Amino acid sequence: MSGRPLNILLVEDNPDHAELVRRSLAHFQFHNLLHHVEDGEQALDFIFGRASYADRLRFPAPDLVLLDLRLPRMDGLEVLRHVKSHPTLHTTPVVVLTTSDAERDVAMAYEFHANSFVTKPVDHQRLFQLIKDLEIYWLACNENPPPADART
Amino acid sequence: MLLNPVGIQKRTVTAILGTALLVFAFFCVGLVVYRQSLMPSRAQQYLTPYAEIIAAAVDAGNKDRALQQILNSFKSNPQILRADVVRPDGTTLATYPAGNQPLEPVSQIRPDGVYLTAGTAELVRSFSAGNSRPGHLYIRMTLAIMKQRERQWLIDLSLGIVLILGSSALLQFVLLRRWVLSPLAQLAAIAASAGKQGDYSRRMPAHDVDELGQLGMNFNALLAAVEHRETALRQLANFQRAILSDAAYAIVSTDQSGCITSFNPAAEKLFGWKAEELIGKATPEMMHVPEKTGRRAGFLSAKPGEAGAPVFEAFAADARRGLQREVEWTFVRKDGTEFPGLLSVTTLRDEQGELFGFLGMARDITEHKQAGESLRESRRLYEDLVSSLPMGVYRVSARVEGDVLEYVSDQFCEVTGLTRETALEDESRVRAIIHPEDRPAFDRANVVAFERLAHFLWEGRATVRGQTRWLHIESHPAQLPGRAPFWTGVIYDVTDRHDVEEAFHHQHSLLEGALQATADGILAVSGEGRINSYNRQFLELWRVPRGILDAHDLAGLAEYILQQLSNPAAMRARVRLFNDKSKADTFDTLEFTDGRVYERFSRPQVVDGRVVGRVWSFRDVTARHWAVASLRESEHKFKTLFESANDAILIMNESVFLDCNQMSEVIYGAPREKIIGESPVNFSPKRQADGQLSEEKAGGKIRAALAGTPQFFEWIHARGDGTLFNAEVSLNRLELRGKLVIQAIVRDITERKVAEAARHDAEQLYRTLVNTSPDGISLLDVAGRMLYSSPKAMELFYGSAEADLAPEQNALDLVSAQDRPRAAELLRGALGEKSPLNARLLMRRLDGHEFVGEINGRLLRDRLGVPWGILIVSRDVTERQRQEDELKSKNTELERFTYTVSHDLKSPLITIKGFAGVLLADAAAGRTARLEEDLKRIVLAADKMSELLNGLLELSRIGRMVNPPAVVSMTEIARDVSELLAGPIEQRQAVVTVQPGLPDAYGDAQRLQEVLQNLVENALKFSAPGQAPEIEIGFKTLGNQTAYFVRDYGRGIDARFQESIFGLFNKLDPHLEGTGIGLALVRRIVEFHGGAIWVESAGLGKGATFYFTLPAHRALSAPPVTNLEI
Repeated sequence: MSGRPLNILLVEDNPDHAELVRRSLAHFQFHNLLHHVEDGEQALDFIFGRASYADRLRFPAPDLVLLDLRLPRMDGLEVLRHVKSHPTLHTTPVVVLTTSDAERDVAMAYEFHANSFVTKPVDHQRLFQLIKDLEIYWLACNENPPPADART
Repeated sequence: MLLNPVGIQKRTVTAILGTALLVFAFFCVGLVVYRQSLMPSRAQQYLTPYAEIIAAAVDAGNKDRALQQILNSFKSNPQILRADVVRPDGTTLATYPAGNQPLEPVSQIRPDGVYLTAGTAELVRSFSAGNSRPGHLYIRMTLAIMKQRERQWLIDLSLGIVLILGSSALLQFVLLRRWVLSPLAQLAAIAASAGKQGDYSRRMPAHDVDELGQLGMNFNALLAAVEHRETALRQLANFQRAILSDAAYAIVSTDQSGCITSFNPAAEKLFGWKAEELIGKATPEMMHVPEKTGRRAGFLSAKPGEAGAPVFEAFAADARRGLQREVEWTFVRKDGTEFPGLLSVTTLRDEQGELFGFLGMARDITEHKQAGESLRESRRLYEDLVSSLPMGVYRVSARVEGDVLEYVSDQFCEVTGLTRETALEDESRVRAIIHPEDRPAFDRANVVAFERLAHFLWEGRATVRGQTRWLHIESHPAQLPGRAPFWTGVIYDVTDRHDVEEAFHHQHSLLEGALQATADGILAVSGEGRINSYNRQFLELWRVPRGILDAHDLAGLAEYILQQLSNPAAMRARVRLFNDKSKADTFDTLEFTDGRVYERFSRPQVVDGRVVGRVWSFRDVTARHWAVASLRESEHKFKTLFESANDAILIMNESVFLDCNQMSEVIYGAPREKIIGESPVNFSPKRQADGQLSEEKAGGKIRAALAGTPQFFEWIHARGDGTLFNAEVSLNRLELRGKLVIQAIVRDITERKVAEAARHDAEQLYRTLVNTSPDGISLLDVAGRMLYSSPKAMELFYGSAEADLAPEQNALDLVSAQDRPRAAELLRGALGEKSPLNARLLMRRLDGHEFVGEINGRLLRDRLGVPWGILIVSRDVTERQRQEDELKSKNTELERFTYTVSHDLKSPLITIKGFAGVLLADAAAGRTARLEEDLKRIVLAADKMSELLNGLLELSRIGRMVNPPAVVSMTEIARDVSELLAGPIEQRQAVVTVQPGLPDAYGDAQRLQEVLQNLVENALKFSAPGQAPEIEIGFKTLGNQTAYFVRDYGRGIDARFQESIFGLFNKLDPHLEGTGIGLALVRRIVEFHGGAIWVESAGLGKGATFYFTLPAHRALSAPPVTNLEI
């Protein structure tokens, strides 16, 4: 684990949910930077470092993407597909974080090579714990892929 | 030998050689002498130079020593023996070789010159007086070498000369030989052979034209002439000899005095004397018989030597006079026997005509005399014979003036009825008696005989003493020298014979005709084993080669015949073919290997109770035999068939049964005796199935059959016990033993009928099933053609139950184009029984109407398992399909709905509970910073939930159309919507235009209003920022439908989202107000009306147009759905 902070991209259209995630993450020890986008287009722009997020210094390539499925305009699965078919950035770990637990969604997510699928629990305690566990796992346990070239 | 060579060649050689030698000798001698004479001069010539040198030296006044030296130099010349320079006083000035004894002074000095001795030559030279040193020089040389050289030279020359001479001699010899010697030798040889051996055949070969050549040619001519003469002479001699020796006459020649000079072999034979006994010793007198010489005087005794001049003289005188005659004489042989002979004498004269002898020829005429005698004798016999013959004898000669009868016997006259005088007088009288019809033959025979000098034969009729008799005239020619040819022949009456002959011929020809005309082969064999006769048929029947018959080879014939039989051994044992000498008639049948069958009959030929032969007759009965056999066979077959047939076979005439087989008893349930004699009507009920009287109907059928038309029909028969049964009857006309009958075949078809009835019932049932089934039932053949379709199927496929199935209607043509490939595939699968034919296909009727058909198919196989068709059951499931689709889509929607709902509801819950927790934690920790914010979030989330729930409720309500459908004025609805949204319109300063002439729609006005309202609201919401929204409500015609639209010139919609925006809770912009169900609601309503809704937008910032269609009439069917699957 290097000393630099790990960048997390949260793709969530619901601002409240985004806020909850943010607050959860703020509590925790690992140094991380949370970025938030509200739709699929922006998510891709951010991950690929293009359009408004072309500045890689300000918007580094995320080490982890938390992706909601229900997004306006571009669907979360669509985003997933795009990311996972990117020549270099497909290695980016993408965790689907969504309210849905429909088997179809799970299947499709994995079909598009999601690294993990997590359903948001309604219970807030469990939500907090989940975020925490997520963080520990993905930022501590998991060996992230080596940083890819930030260029899309 | 050499000195006296024989032969010109040798002589020539000798001459040439001798000459050469002579020349050579002379030459040599001459040469030697010559050379010898030259010797002194040569010596001198040789020595002179030396002398000169010395002389010169002397003259020059050389010292003595010098001279000596010069002399010493002579050493080099071995020929020089001695050289001395002598002073006048005799002292030696110088000498060579040194040490010589001084020469003896000579008394007289010899004058200068060269003096030769035997082997030396000496030169004497005196020096001149004027010389200071006068003196003499003596040089002596040996001549040996010179002589030697001379000899050598001579020898060489000699050799050369020898060579030249030799060659010349050779050349001479060769030339001479060629030109002279050889021809001469040849000539000599030829002459020798001609002279010594008498061989005149050799000739000189052609040569040059020089004298020798000429000689040769002349010699050849000479030889040729000689040869010719020799040959002629020889021939003459041979001729003479031949004459003399071979002559049949005795030839005796004498000289003038009568002394015998030659006596030929014939004479030897005739007189018994040998030639040498008489030649030169005797005269012919001894061969004469004295008694006979009547006018000739004297006779000679047997003793030789004595001249019997008178007799001989008599002859000779005649001869001399040139009289030649032959006189009969009596001769006497050596042994004394006498014999008569003919004698003729001629003279022999030489070339000059001088008489030098006589030639006598004699002939023995004993036989001649005898012959004359016997001739007379035979003549007498002949006369006797002729007169005693029963036939007439005649002689006719052919003369220029005509034929002349020279002689006719008494019998001749008897036979012909002519008198001798008449016949002899005129030959034509004989001809006259001949029957006119037979005359031409007579004349012809005559002509032929006379022309060819041939046998004359004629037989014919003649009128003799008023009767017609058959005469036979036959004669043979003869020709005596000097006489005209004549024919000697016989004539006799053959009338009786003729009659007999004619009768015989008549019989014979009759017999022959019969023999040849008969179809049987006849062979007559004599008792001795000879084949008397056979006819052509016999040959043909047996195919016997003529050779066997001609050879009378009975054994062979028998064998030949037996070989052809199928069982020769048996025949052989039974019959003594052709050897049968019994008196019995025999009869047999012969069978051949090749299937022929002959009948053999034989009968003995009996003459006077004795068997003299046997006559065999053979007849080819193959056809008959096999005909009989096959007839029997077919009879047998028929019988078998008749008896064993499974059907009843009966023979009947026009009214009753004549015969029946076993099966008939079974079928009719009555014994045979009861059937025969009965009419078939008795075995039938009164009436038939069609109501006709059995009697009438049967009668008609029977008559028709008898007339020749085969009948085949069904009949109701009655059994013996009265029970009825169905029968199949076939009637055929037959000829049986010359009579026309009917063969009836009756088959009990009761069972079949029952089966048929059952089948008929089943068929009826089946038909009913098919016709009443709600499903269409069709039958296809294996090619997919429709063979049959039930009325329901016709209704399905053709639109009308009464429609007729088009011929060759292919089932696939009834399937819509898009489903046809799949249909074809299904058919194939069904035919191959790989897959069951169960499918829903979009069908298309001929009138264009399409419907969804559910097709179940099944392959039909016949009894043998061969596929023969496909049974198709079909039904119209369009409605059901639509319902299923609808249900499916409803289910799908419901699923999506549930999913969406759960998700969207879950979302605010998470917010609420999440922030509640946060608040609790903060409250417990005393953190109040975000209290208000967090609470707001919770409240907002709760509101969201409520909103969502309301929207959902409303959406679910759409499932039930509240108002019944009616005609709706869209213009009015547009106006209402504008009024309703007046507030927001004004607020945004939007302009809403409504296209005039909006067509009416058919549906729920309320709902339609909601549609427009939602769309306009959206248009207002998604206006371009900063711009006053422009909204158009209008319509356009799409095909046969009307599409209403709401257009705005606002933000537009990205192509990616033009479909998803109609999804539930899908919001383009989450920040904008709205539940996200508006468009979903709108779509729901439009689709419920049977229409469709879509959006067209050029892209972001380019506005959007929402189109929706509303069918004029509410249709229950869903829009075409593809990809139907069960």
